[in-house]
Amino acid sequence: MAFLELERIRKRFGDLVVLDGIDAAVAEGETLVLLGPSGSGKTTLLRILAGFETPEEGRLRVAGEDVSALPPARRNFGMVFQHYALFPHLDVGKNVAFGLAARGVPAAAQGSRVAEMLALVELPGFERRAVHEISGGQQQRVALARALAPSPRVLLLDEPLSNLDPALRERTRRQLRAVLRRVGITAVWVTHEQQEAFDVGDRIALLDGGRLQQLGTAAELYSRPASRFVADFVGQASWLGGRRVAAGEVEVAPGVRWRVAADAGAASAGEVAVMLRPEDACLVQPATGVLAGRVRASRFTGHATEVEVELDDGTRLLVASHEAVPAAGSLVGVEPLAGRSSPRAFAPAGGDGGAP
Amino acid sequence: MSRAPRWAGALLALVLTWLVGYPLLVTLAESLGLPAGLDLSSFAEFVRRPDEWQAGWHSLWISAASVALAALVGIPLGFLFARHEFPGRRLLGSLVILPIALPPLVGVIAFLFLYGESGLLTRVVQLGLGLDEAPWRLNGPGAILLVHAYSLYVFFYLFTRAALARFDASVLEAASALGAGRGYTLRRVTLPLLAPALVGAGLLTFMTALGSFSAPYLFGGGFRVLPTQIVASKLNGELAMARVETVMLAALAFLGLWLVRKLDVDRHAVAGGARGIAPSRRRLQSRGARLAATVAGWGLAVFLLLPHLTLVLISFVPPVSWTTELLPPVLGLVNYESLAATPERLRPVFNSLWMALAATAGALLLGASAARLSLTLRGRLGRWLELLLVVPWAIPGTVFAVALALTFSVRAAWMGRFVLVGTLWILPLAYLVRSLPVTGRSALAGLRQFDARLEEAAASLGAGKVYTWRRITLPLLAPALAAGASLAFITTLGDFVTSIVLYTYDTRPVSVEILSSLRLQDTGVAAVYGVFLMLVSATIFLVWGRQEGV
Repeated sequence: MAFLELERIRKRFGDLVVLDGIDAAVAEGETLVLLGPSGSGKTTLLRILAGFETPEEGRLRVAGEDVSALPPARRNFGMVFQHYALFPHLDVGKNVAFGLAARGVPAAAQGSRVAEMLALVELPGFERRAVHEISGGQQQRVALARALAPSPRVLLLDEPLSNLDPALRERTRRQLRAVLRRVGITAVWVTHEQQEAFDVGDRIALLDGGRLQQLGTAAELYSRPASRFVADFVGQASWLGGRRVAAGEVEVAPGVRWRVAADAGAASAGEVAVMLRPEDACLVQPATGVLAGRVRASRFTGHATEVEVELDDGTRLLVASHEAVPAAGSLVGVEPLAGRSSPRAFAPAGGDGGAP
Repeated sequence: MSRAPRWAGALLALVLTWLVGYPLLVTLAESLGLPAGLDLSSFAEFVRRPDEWQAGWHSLWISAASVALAALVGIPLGFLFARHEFPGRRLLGSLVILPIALPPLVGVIAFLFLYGESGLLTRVVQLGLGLDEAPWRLNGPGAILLVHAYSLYVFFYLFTRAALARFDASVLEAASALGAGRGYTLRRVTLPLLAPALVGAGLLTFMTALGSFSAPYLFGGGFRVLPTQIVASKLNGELAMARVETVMLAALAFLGLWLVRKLDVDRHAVAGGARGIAPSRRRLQSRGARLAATVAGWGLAVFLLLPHLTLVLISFVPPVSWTTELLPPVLGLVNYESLAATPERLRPVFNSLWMALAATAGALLLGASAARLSLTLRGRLGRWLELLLVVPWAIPGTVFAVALALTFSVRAAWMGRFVLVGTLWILPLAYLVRSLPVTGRSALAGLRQFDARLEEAAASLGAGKVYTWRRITLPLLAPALAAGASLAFITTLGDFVTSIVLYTYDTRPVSVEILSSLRLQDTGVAAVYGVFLMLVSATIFLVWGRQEGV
């Protein structure tokens, strides 16, 4: 049952179309991640949800109620800002109480709610601290407590971790996720980091150029990418040219035929781009009918060794190998593993991705 | 920040243009003989009369010499306070910027009481050396330059300190790692990096000296500069000549303003935005050096405060009690009592207070609104509003006063001209215009630092517009607005240059009364007025007026 519904959201800045008809639905208690490179429109979409930007077209509904025309203050959406936007002249307690005070909640009730919220984000007793005295991670959690205090219907998070250093980011991400689960709030979380999106999102909306590229779970985006863009943006992908010879079968080099994932191959013959993920391939002895290339370089990553193989035509493939890696320059064969999500065939480069 | 409607911006721009731009435009048009027909005879007359172009020449060289002298005092002082630690540094650091906050006229009469012909120091030297008459006379260009150097070094001092605070210490370390000695580093690294800030300070000093009126008016005698020449022409009824002189001075000021904006001088006044870490203050190691710095710092502070201390002393000297003695033989509260007991003498204090308050309130409202609108309304309208806020800052007070006097002594309602000269309104209005840049610029600075996302954060928490404004926007802007308002109040409270042109008997302010008391040889009462202005200004400045870098 959709709790938050976005219908054909369209937004332009001057001549530039930043959002081109976005449709999405978020279930109650679900965390939807808006993922995309910078300029993809994800932050604009979040600001439209918050009410800071007005779309040219489209509707926004919460629990069936149309909130498109409501000003931000009356939407009852909480927001965690990228740079936190904590009020510098108020202490931690007054920051958290701000939304309650604005709604006219009595002082006593404010105090207990503030204490409850600070306990939730593991900052009990921080009420009297000045906001510039506490660390970046703590400021982040105060911002979360502040946004949650008035019990908003939806929580919006704008790149909440981008201001933290990498070591802190991981831990704060886990804490944030735990709090969202515990509160059971419906959340929309903007990020440009795939790892973060996979970690926190129940589902992910991948945006590019103002269009929704794919909406689905992390596993769906990774194993059944809807376009070349999606395949490249989530996870590593190597690309090689090929020609479809039969349904589900592609010739990637003279005499070398690979089966491609079932749902990716339409019957039509012609040029295709074949995507192969490093972990879906292995190195074998060179032989007829096997794609051959030379080892260019290899890099040990912990769980595997990433081997870069250069084909005769200069194409480079990445293969995650779990065995001893031949020396650079040696001739090797590359074969896809059976039953994996790649290789997949897409329309050749230059097309807008889309279905193969 | 929410968008402001365009009509509000247009309306405000219209009002400000009428107040700021229109009088200047009317003066320019009339100096050219318009609207009757183009007539350049007044300009020809200006060129023909030697005393006219000499006044212009005096203005230029006095301003240039003031820059040199102010730099000579201000730059070493900036280095001393930025780089060295010595006892009393913080206290003295606040004291040495006071001259910029005290009314120029008060500084001038304080100088008169200390260095004038019967001044305290003059007597000391005269009696000490057994001379028959005063060893020097405080008049002419020398006296003007002395006063200028004394008050205008503050620009160099502040800019040098701000620039040094912004300095990246690793640059100095790099120089010394490359084998450069101290002198070489100063010459090849430090000074070139300070150059833009020093050029900025020089420009501000030049423009302030160009518009300076009190010192040339009191000490100039026959030595005229453009501002005093303008006032003299107007008093002599030579209105055509006054217009031409006003236009010439305004043109010089606009040239300066153009340079200030081109070089982005404001940027150098602020200590923030540092990359890297500023060099830490050196605790002077050698005993001698520490002693020298302490003596230099305190000696300078005494030199700076001595005129004002003298002013306080004179305010306690009863009339005609001090004749030939070295120090006043009697001290008492007679002057204060006579002032408090005479309604006629209290009137100017009351006048100055209400006019300064009204002008400050108006300037705060208009300046802050214009600042906000100039930021939210981008495009031409926004830039025009910002320019209107800056122009009165660059234009010498005399120019504005005379332009207002010429524009608003004519009734032509359809041309936007009314007879305001001689009424209660002209002086507060002139004060307001002169205060606009002060309130407007600090509002602009405050708004630029204000994070608009805080307003969004408040809205996302359910706060309405009024609540957000009351709880978030206003408290965060308050320091900047208070600083602007208090500087505006101080400047208008002690204003002399505008007042002398536009006052009426009913609106005569303290500064004008100081002058007439001096003329009546009522030095004690003049000193009491001066002490009043000094105390109020210094208190307000030290409590609210100090903004980072201003």
